Amino acid sequence: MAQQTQAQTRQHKPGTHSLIVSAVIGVIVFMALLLILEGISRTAWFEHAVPVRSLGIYHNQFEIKWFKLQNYVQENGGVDLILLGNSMVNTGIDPDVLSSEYEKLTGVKLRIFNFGVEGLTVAPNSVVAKILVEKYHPAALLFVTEMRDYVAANGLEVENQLMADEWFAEQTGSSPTLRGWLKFNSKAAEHLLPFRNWSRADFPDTFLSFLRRYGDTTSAGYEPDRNVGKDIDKHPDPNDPAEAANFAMFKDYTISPERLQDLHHILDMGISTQPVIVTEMPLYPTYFDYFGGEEVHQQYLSSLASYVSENGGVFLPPIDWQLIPLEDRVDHHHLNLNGAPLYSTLLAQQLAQYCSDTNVCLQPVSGVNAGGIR
Amino acid sequence: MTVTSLLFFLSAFAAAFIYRRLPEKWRNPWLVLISAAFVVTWSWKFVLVLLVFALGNFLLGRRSAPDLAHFKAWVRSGIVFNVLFLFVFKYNHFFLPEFSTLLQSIGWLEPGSILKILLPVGLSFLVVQNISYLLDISKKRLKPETNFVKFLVYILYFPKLLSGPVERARIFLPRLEKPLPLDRSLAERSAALILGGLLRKIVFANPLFDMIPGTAFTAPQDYAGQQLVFWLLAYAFALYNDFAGYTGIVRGVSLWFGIELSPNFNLPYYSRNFTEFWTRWHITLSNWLRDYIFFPTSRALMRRYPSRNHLFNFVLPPMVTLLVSGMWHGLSWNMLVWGGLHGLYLVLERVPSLWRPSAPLDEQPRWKQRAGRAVTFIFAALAWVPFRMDLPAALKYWQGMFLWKTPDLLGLAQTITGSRLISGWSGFNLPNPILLVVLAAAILFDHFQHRAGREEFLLDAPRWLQVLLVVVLLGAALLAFFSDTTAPFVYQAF
Repeated sequence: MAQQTQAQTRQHKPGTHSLIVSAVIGVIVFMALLLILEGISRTAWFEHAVPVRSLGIYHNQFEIKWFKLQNYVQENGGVDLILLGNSMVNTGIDPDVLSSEYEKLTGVKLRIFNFGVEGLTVAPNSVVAKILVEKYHPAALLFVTEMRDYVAANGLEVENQLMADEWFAEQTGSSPTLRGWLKFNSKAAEHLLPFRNWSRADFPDTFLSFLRRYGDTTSAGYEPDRNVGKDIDKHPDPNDPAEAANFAMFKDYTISPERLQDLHHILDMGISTQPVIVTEMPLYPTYFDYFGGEEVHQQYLSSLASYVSENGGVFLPPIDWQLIPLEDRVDHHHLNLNGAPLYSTLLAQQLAQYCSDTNVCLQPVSGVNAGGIR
Repeated sequence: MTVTSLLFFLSAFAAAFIYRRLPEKWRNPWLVLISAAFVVTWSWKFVLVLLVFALGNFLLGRRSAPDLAHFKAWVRSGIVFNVLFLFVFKYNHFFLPEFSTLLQSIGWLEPGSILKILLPVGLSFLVVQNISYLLDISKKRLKPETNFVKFLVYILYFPKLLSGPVERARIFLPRLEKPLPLDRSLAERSAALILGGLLRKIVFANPLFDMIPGTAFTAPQDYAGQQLVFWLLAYAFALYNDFAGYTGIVRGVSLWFGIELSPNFNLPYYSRNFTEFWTRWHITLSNWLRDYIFFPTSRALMRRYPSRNHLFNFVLPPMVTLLVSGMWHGLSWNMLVWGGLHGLYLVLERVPSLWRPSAPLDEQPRWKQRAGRAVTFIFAALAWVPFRMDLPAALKYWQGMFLWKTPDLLGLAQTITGSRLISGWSGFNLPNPILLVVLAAAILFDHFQHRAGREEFLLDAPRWLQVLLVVVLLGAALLAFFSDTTAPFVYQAF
């Protein structure tokens, strides 16, 4: 019976044309399509027409900032000042306002880009700073930091995922892979990667959210937040389950030496740029309850200021928090679309004041081609 | 090593190339060697377990021939041996915690630690194959295999090891003696099976599985009824394409060695009733259950209650068979409910035949056949609910499917026209449009197969369609290569 089945099997007549030949043609067609896509993707027209791109990393917002900066540099011929930090910077500083206000006060026109990315502590920011400086050669970096940056256990999830990504490995030259190489070198891959998770349950949501955030983020990297916070002036309750994790994470506040080392790496960028400027956002005082109160905050600021100065950076003390009204805030540490221009103006004034006080001023990148992609 | 990986195809191709060039006497040892190497890619320990398993069955088979004394006792021992293997390795969660406690109490195990036993790949499939081997010997349908290497090929043969097909020794072993010669026809068939299998797995099954959020099966009450309905449809087609895709791939690869493996699926969702469904879904296991559970149960009952319409004759054989099928998939209440539901379906659809014999399906009016297909699909899909999740969640899922939320079409229109900010898709209470496209493509794929009337229907497709399907497959594979998820075969877990 078995042999009968085997014999029957052989009687299956092949089609009029060979499927194997079709498969080979299919592979050739596919390769050709990829090559055509690679070629088209490298044209400026295509990049403009299809702005949605991805690096294939999990952090959508980092990707938005990366491509916006790429466009910014192409359109403006370079970048003079890159703002680094976390979500507070992302929604809290409008580079266009900062630039025009600074120009008004000093007469110096700066090309400024906001590279603040959600969840990035000083640790990944030190890697990001190096990548950006090597790629875009800005004249200066302004790193907006805060107390959470220096808690060793904070932000590890984002840091680990981001730093373990093949694209980052390719950037930093550690453990390269075929995927990482393709992500890094192929323009066609950049345009295909936004769809790599097309089959995931959350794809329609995440893709639409990505489109929205891409559209919301200005060409200078600022993403306005329309929300207005509530109960910002109320002290967070340690017994509230929603707050418990924050209180547990930041109690007995101490500055982690490893994280200071990461800050050191950012300050080292001052060798190839102007001195790195470090500052803090005007946080609402209730924020410091997690860390033990205003006194702990002042001790932190004092330590940070000394460390920055000793390592060749410039520390700008945070501006008076009372200058930003409650309705211009999203919560006790984020500013909204009204607070951001206000703070950007105040920051420009602070930078201009520092310039006139110390004669250390922000300058555009010198030279014709400087500041472009090298 | 998964059977969709490039490494699998390259290794199998190289192994088949060598196999075809080896002298006949070296072919079976070569198959054992490469199959063992395949098992090692999961764990070298599995090879040892499977060797013990194979040796046990080989020896028991030698004692089960009906011309030997006490052969019945040996056959029974053999069945117990196989079932025990299954209990020790697959169902150990029932006794291992207690056993660990016992060992801890006598100081043989450190306090707090628990014994762990890994489930060797494909064990459930091997157990049923070996039970049939022993029973067939005892019924004179097969002579005991005397060549242990050849028997090892029956156990370890890598294309069928992970998830079948459930091959009978009396069909499989003769095929080893005379492999099919490699000619154009065989190569084309192999290509059609592999291409069809890969399309089913990579283009249909994996995306459909992915498009169902994991929490839909643990907290279905959090979702709108229409979402649950579409996810159940997606699950039904994902499961089918996953397993049918796997079977297509391994059957195609097996043809490289000239060894035909049995088909396992024949468009099950085209079934016009449940009796037909079980001749089209997981065919080799269904046939096994029919031959070794259904028929013996029926015969035993008929001896005691000669009337065909006796309640026991009518109810027990299908119920027992499908409950055993449920238990084979997993010893849990939800699998029993899944099996029980299918048993019940079989019983209920036979009720009209108590009064008058029903016409053969092909002779029934077209509308009745179509209605039968729809009803069978709906009830088969409903039964997948307990197949996928535990009973409390399954009850909530069934309940939730009737609690629809009004789709926010106005919000969708406003978002499209730009008068409202994009806030994501899930808020619209509409099914995932990509899911609908993939589902439609999967249905269309089956429709083509149905029209062509054979599994290798891709051989008959026009050139442009063949090329297009290859391009689509490569595109999906490329995106899967970059994606952040992996998708194992579902039936590999059984």
